[in-house]
Amino acid sequence: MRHFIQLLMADAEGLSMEASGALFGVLIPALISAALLLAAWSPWKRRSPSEDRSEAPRVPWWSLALGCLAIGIGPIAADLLIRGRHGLWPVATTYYVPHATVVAIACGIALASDRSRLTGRGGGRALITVVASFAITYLLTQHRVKSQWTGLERIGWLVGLSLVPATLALSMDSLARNASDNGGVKPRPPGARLAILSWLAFSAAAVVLLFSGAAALGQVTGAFAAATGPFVLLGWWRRDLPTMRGAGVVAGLMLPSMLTVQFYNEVPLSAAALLVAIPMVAWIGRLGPMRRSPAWLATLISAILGAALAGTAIAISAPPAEENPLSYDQYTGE
Amino acid sequence: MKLTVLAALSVAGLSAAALGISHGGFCGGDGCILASKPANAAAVSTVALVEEGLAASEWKVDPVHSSMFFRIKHMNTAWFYGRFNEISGTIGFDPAKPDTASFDVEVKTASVDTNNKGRDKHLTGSDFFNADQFPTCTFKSTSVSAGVNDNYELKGDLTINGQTKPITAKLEKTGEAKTREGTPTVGFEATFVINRNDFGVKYGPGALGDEVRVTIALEAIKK
Repeated sequence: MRHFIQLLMADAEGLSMEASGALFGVLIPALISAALLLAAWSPWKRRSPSEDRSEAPRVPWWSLALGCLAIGIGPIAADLLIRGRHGLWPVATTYYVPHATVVAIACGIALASDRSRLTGRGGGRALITVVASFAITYLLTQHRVKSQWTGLERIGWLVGLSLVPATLALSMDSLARNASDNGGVKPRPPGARLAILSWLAFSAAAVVLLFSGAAALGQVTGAFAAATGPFVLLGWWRRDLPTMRGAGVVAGLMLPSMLTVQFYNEVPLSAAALLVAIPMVAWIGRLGPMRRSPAWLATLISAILGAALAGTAIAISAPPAEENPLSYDQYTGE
Repeated sequence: MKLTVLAALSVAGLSAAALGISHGGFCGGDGCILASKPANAAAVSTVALVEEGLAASEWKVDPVHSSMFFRIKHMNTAWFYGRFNEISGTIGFDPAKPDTASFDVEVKTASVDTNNKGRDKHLTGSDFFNADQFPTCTFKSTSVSAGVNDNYELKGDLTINGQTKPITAKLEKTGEAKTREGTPTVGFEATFVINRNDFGVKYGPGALGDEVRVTIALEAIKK
């Protein structure tokens, strides 16, 4: 495997930055995600026509664990290929994205199973998520924790920042686990709604990070979007499958965490807030008259709202032309 | 500490006063301050000599008249030059003993200037200098080897992006003078080449060269 990666990197040295970005930041994470979802496929084979397909099938825990790996392994690989290896404990805090992703995957896998005493209860799930979120936040802000923040400021920042990924992850976990629960109205299949919103959020976050000057981190965030793509396709094809169960926790933890890079680059706080809100739009499908609407309509409206939030976040974060980190390196001769 | 050093150097100070040293060492090349001290203030002169002798080897980098440039190859086509605008530090230098010189220089990474706001924003971000976590790049010398005609070999530890590597630089003493107020100044220029990958700056392989040549010109004023 190591030899294969070395060959891949050697071949990629001749590629342009755009081509290597597309290869490492899009194609590879998408392929890894698709491969792992296929490996989890067998428990998800089509059931008999007489079964109620609006009810999510019971899938084994390991199948959901593979889903968590699918959404996380690709971005880890993308980070190592795009930004290079910097040792197991890098000096620069921004190189701890793979470490943070591992913690998120572990949390997702833990919450994907509700058999243990701890994860079978809401309090236990919340505890695991908060601890994972705190660990991820610390990993990605440790230079500030160690040298810039002091005393109560340190505690305040760590607790405050970690509440955002924890809240989003628990929310997405609830949406994914109770995807068929329509509050007493006829159950709807889970569908691709949560996957679509996650894909929108990661894609927009990637653009926002590119605008902020964090091109490599933007590419890694784009890798999360690419890894979410197969979930969209699978959720669209097999609407009865709880594809985002477990994986939604990984997405919920990593989306706001990637945006803590605003400490290193200028990501507007309002844009970050809009991006984090995108997956929460899925709750609309359970509110008021939307509860009785067809699943496809709820998904369509959620996607439109999510796209509006994504577009607004991108517009807010777009810098003036002369300060655009994306375009300074282009001269056409005109 | 100052009193201890004063005591230790008092004998040397007396000897120096007696001999009337007049080389370009402490005094900037146009005569030693000692020669202008009144002879009947010997005790004061000795202390003054020792104090000035102690301070004479310490110079403060003048940020207004110091410059730092780097060059890197773009698309394997042309050299591209950039600069850092905020430089500070101290130099310990005795022309009589150039191999005892010391350089402690600091550059603010956020002061990088490539005449393009978008590029400067990118350079200070996480892809390059990561100015939020590493607000400065530093150089601390470990040795100076005297050469010919004010040329030296300077060795020391360079820290960029939190990573410290030993480097060797060509050092030239470029001149000395006095300010309008009569304070001695001295100038140095150092040049060295580094591989940016050694310091964790790996963004843009192929588009940007690995080797970066750095030239830093320092003007220092005696403390």
